[in-house]
Amino acid sequence: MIDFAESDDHRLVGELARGFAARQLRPAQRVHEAAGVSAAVYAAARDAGLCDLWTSLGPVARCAAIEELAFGDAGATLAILGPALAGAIAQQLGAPRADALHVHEGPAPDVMPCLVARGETVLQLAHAGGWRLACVRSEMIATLGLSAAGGARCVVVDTLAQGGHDCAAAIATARLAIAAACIGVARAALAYAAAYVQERKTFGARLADHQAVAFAIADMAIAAGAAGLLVQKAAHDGTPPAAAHAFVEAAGAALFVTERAVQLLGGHGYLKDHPVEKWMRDARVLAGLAGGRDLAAEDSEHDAWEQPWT
Amino acid sequence: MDLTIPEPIERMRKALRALGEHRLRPLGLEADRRGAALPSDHPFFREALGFPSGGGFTGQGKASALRAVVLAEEAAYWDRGMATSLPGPSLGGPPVALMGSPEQRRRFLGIFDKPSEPRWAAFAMTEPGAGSDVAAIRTRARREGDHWVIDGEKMFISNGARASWVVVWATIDPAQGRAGHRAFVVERGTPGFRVARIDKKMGLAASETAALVFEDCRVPADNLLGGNGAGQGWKGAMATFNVTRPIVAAMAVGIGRAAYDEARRFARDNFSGLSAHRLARTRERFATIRRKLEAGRLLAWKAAWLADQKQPNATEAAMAKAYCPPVALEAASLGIDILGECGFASDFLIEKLFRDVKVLDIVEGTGQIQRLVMARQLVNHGVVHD
Repeated sequence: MIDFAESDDHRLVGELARGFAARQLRPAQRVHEAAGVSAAVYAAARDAGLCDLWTSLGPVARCAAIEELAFGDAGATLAILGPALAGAIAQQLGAPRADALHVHEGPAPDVMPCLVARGETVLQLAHAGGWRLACVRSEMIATLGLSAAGGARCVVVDTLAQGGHDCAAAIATARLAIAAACIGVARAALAYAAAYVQERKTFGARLADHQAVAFAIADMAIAAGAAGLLVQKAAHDGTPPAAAHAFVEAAGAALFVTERAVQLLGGHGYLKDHPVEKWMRDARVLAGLAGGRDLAAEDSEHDAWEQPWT
Repeated sequence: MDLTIPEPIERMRKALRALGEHRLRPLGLEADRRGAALPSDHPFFREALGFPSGGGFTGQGKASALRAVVLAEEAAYWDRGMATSLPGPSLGGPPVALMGSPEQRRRFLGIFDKPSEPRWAAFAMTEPGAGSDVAAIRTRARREGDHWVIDGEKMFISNGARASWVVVWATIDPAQGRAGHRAFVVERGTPGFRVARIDKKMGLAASETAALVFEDCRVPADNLLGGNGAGQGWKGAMATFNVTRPIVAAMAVGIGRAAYDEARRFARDNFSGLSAHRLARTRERFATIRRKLEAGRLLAWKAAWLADQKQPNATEAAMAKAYCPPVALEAASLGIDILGECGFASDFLIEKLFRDVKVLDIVEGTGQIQRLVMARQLVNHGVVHD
């Protein structure tokens, strides 16, 4: 039965995440960007049950929660949820608990950039199959975006465990989470820009009343809306190809919408007075996670070429 | 959330698939070669009587926009022109279903319930001077006793020449703008109502497109839909568009899917000797189209689902309508690229699909109009989810 209604879980966790994001993440996003997520916010997220998304919820509701949290701040969202995501994927593979993830092509690297806000282990997933749980020594580094999640250069100091499983399903889990975060960032930028163009006046009229601007807002909404539905479908289907399709479109939508938002705000968009410049940087980093867009596109292409679509 | 097509609709879709493969596509190609729609007395239309072709916008049963979009996509996959030509109320159904009184629904939609002969209905909004700018229609309606008298011209009316009745939008006073709009059902044979011409088009030859003229055309007062209150006609038109735009979007997905399938089949059969680089490029293009078509289908489904839930869906309907036709055109264009010189030869389907699909970005409001509708909703009414 085709039904887009939210389940009770979906609605409740969506409201919970939306409220948490509005109170704890959005107002503090610049603070978190500069200094990382505070212990108090971690504790609040844990108390609210937001760190248990992979054990307590189905994938559709989980994606809705991630999207709502990322609407507040994607960097803090990954800082809070990253260990739970890594842990869930480790469990999927039968590996010991991990703190962070890294998806790679070719041999597992011994030095890698990674988002490791807190933790000492990285689960490395090979696109071609096989995984390694590595104990790492981390050196914090500045990153283009998502700084609240703690960008680090990780050096492998020990291999704790490894396996030769096919990692497609594990990578799909990571892609789905990042894709949901991409939609949250895109929606945040769209909402902010839509409000701005209603207030700002140029040539004697609201920015929104200029067709070029109205069309841009509509195109941003289309991109976020279309990709958002693909993410929901991928969560519903639960297959690696669906997650690959969704990741490519969601990452593309986040990149497009956040860049357009900066453009619509003009010079103001470039200033740190407004959050859109941050969201543009965050989107760029999100689109590179879980192996990045090109790797997901490769899987998407394989599916489109090999499997008929009806 | 559930994305499973309900079993009754899935059964209809499978039946439509069989009809499409054996009848809609061959007949659509025949109409394309002839450059004209099948005549209304063609035996096929009797054969197709009672075939589930739409959303149930008839006199009985529960209308379902979702059913309409699922079936519209499948029918358009085989031939969009023939899909539009299938007997039934077509785009005339939603305004009567949405605006009509129980008596009007019985009178006008009831003839489609168990038809003994093929019948059609039509929807007439566009005029020579009023396309996207719907508020600018100049067809006049004036009250004279128990009748309304209609004068004006309508164009681009699907099935307009074969329709048993046409829903005609007119204004009681152009100075009132949208508030002056009213909708009337004008029955075939009403004095003063005539077909001016059948249009020749770039594609969709199987779909009859007519220009209609109304000269001192007297229709009974009972044929006014939605009452005579200010703005009733406009509201009814917008409510109709919110149902029909997802249907058009779904048709675009259907054509796009047909182009995708044709091109993919050709590429898989013929591209084995390509360089790895060229093959990678081709696969990338297929995947891009596939993702977009899948997203387009979901947009159409969601807009239709909202309509069935009686929830506001103007933004979603416009979004689906704005998104799907350009994607479908891109799919057809990809097909031509893939087929190379074969792609623009008329003995390959892809050439026809390219001609057929373009109009879907124009009918029911151009892509530009959809963006204006969306922007108004998003900016002025704060529909953006925050």
